[in-house]
Amino acid sequence: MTNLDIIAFWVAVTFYVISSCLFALAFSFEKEKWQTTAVWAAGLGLIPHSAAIIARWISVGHGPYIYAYEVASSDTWFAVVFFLVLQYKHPKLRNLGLFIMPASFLLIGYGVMKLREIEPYPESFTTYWLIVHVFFAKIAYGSAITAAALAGTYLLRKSGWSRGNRLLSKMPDSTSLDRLSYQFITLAFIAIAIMIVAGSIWAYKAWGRYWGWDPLETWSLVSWLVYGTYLHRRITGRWEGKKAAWLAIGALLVLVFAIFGIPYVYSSLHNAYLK
Amino acid sequence: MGEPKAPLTDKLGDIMLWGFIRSRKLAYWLIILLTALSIAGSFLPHPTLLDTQFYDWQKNNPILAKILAALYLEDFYQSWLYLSVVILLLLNTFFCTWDQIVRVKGLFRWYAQEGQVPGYAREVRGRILPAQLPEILAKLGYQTKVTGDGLLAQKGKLGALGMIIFHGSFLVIAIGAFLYTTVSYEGRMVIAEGQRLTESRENYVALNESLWGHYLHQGFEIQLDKFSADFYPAKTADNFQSRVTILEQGEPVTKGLVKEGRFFRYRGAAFFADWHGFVPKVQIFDHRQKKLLSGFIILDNNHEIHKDTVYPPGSNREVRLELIPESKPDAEGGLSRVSNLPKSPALGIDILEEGKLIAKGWVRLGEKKRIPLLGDKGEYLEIMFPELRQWGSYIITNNAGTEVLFWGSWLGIAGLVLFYSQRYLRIHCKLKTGDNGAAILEIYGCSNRDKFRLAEEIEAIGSALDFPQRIAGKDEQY
Repeated sequence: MTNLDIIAFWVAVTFYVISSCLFALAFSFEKEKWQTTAVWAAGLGLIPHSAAIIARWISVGHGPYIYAYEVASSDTWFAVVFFLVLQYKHPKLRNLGLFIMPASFLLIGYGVMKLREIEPYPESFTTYWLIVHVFFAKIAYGSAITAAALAGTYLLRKSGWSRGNRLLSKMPDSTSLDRLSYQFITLAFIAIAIMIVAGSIWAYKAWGRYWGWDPLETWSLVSWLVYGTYLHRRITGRWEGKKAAWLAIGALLVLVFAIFGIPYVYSSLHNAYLK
Repeated sequence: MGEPKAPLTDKLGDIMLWGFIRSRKLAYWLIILLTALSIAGSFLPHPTLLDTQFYDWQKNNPILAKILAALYLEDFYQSWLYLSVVILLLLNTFFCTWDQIVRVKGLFRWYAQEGQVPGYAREVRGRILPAQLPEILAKLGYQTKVTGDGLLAQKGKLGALGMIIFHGSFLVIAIGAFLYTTVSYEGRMVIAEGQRLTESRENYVALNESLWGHYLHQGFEIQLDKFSADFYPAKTADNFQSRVTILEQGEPVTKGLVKEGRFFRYRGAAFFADWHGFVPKVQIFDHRQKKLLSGFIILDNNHEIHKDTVYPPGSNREVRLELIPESKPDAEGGLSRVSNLPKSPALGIDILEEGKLIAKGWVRLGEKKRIPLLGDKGEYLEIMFPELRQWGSYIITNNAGTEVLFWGSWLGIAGLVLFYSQRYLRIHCKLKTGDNGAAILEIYGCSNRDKFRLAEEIEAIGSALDFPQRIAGKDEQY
């Protein structure tokens, strides 16, 4: 890591921590101003975070997709961007920061624990298909975490646990939350499909096979099938409301495991980079 | 006597099994089962051509390995269990898709008659302004058609096609996968620089052929013109590049480059860079100038240790060779390795007779040396190392289903994007006479996925028509 990379990264982490704390406090004490400050903190954190990603990109000569640190950092970046764009378009959805910012902070923290020396990477990594593969993986992650946050908010609303909370009552009604969650899951489903296809083309070019049942490949398929189950039930079985919300949260856990958990359970081709 | 049992048919007169196979509920359970089996399979290693992990796992887990072998589940994702679920899901998809084709055919023919437009519906009573309807619907992007009792409007027909394309792509992918697994081969071929080998079974060092894979061998020749690699000091080599020439009936027909991430394809056979090693030219003569060994020797490369043993024909001697890419003499007169970079290659030679070492020495590239025979006074061997080449190994695959898989995957994504980007919505505006004799305009809706959007649209129409009262309708799908 270069000095600029390190400084920018830690400034971003600090802003994300502040944002997470402010979201929690705003929710607990029903202070709308604190919530606005939390959004600003997230936005301000995104600037040094972008700088850290670009600085590392320049210093290592490849995009943020080879090592666990880079993957976690860029996934967090996408999640925060998704959240900021969403709350800008739908200010009523600001409360989602209550879920997204702590998740982002935890993910970026995980990434920094995985920081290690840069090693030369194989020639097979220099292909456009890898960029397509990784880009859609990040779209999938960003939309899946947003969908789960919407589902979490839906459940929070339905549980009655925070009935009377002024901030929660300002959020869109349950039906809209449910619908938005469904729409983000649709996006995640399509993005995972493109990610898998692009990844298999890359694998074919690198190793001569489209599909090798490597654990990461298998779990990508599993994630896609879980999101497929959600959509199938939603379209044909009219699964809505609580059931759908729990499935959206469960599906995110499967996806997170597929991206970050595999190296700790399996021996996989991807372990050399993602662990 | 009780009531006679109902025949095993559903309302369409089909047998119940048919209805079961094409049911959406079955699809749902099969997707869950496939997910569970995929997870289970991920905990088991799979036999592959080039990996010994599976065989190591078998040794370490003998009981589980025996159980899996007894149940024919060793290669889990190719097993009867996994494939049965996949085939059942494909059958289900096929019949569901067939049902959808019948429905969508109707959308394009406007055949939505009363009773055939089930779906999310809202009945609206009030003042009737039929003249405004086409204009309102056109503003919302609908195509309209006047019917005997009202108006039909629909938009996003391509969205309905999208789902058929998406489901249809599974069938295309399945055909591709079938071809991929039954008409294919995968093998490893080792070729030294300057060597020319025919693409045929006997020239592979390892080969996996599927049921009809043997039909794919082409019989052309491949020659390795030049091999190069980047060497990281003390680490493995990387970025292999091979310049090759393809020959047909001895005549060159094309040239190509094989490197990591960039394969070379000729007549369906794809060549992928795999591994590398050294090929020293070795000449060994005894003190009477009788040849013991002369030629290029392809040395095995095990983690950058380049070794091999040669048994010269007509001799009871064996020659053990080890190449050290960059070396320096050690204190005991031998050689020690400096790095893997082929800067100053030297060849260590041990000669054994009936298992007993009789001569030992080393020679640098371009040198000629005499090494005495141990124990025999005056006798010696003359060793020469005049040339060093490299070998490349290639994974060669030929799969009949490759293109089908590729296009099937993209077709599926295109269908999915089409389905979600073009929401199919249908609205049926129907004139009726109410109990009090007043005219009633009913507005039904039908959507393949977005009842919220449909509700908004119906509300927009109702609002534009200034309906005083709205009645929630039934919620079904088309």
